[in-house]
Amino acid sequence: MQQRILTVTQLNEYVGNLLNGDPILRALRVQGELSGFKRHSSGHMYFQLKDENAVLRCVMFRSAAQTVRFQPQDGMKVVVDGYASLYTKDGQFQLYAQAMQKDGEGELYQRFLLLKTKLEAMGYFDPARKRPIPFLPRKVGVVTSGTGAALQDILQIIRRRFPNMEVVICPVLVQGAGAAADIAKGIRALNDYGGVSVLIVGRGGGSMEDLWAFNEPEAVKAVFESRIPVISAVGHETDITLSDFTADLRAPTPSAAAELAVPAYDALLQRVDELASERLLRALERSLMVRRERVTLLLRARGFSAAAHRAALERKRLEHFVKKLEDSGRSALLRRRTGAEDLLHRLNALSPGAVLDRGYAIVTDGEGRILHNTSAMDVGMPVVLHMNDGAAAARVERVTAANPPQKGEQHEQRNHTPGRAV
Amino acid sequence: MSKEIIPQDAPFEALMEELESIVQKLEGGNSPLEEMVALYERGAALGKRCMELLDSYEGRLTTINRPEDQE
Repeated sequence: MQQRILTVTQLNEYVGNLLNGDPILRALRVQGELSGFKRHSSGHMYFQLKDENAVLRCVMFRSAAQTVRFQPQDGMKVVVDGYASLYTKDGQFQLYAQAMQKDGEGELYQRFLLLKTKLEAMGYFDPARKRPIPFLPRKVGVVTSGTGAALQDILQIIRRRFPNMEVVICPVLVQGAGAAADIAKGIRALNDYGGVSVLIVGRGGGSMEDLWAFNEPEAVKAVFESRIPVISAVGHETDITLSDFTADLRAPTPSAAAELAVPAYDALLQRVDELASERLLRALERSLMVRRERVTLLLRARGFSAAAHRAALERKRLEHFVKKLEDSGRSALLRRRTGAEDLLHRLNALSPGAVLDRGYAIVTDGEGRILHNTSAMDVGMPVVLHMNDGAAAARVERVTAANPPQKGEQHEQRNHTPGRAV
Repeated sequence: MSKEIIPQDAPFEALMEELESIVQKLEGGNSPLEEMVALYERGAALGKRCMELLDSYEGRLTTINRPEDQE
């Protein structure tokens, strides 16, 4: 019987398949000291795990490496989760790492998972419970360390965005014994303070142990029970605590929490000003302009008597409007009110009704044509006198051409009513 | 409509939303004059309230006692 000859590839693949079929090697947790740690530009991490007697080659691919919440260093004691297999290209046995924790945090992490399951079951993380963060808070409450950089970051951002925002700070312990109870009391104290419309609860970055108070049920419960919406800001982007899961909104950093809590004053002011002072008035002016044109058109297109009547009516409406404008004009928003008044004055000047109101009459012949001067008049001719409140039929008794015609022209110009005699 | 009082506790964003819709309606320009005047008045009142709200802050920074000290 002849010995079967294998290629190197066949052998390595055979061993690899053997290892892959082993249930223990498929899900491992290995404890050891980091050595030869390298982070490749691709994002993958290569290192060895060792103890006194042995070394194990490990690789951690980028997607898994991104979940590591500390900077691994040679000599560090860690616990790695993953599976072991053969790298068939060089026949090397290696561990494919999927998670890495500092030794000692593993236990803490287990507690974290346990608590997370428990609180989740109690509905703490229910997305349906999350309340919207008010757009413009009355007062911002801050629960954090009175001495930490996080507080300074938060205050700086708030002052920059909205210099006059009211801020109420309740300084608390954020780590160590009693911190969770302190955080809970701080949250309740600000709930009872009055007028606070959003809370920022958090601290700067640290190890899982440093952040632990924000995982403790006492603190998380206070976040859950807060009547005021809570923005959590615990640690950095990659640190997640149970307070973060429970809060109405999670901010990646304390600075980001301040950005989310407070709008930018200048932008709001500009928006209000643009809407209320500019666009509102401009829209109204434009519609008045349209109406002025309508008055002019009426005068041109229809019988004069009817037009004068309509113009007078229109003018009454506009006058009424000016009055209302002035009534509401005490607002600081109406800085441009004079512009609107100008417009109305000009509009009035165009309206024959305004002229009639001053005691003048417009004279037309029997067919409604305006009579500009006496040359168009004969004794006995029927005319109509249009007054501000109606018209009177009359007859010419005597014609005396006493005034030089250009005087009448000046008169017309002064009143800005070209083409209409008075 | 213009006579409707703006609720004292109306949130800023609700005021802005209404103001925005009024401006859009006015810009449409199809309403009768009385309605446009009413819209304008309502808009001006809303804008005034928004300004008042924005300027009603005094920049107070209050530190309340650490909870232990209260008990």
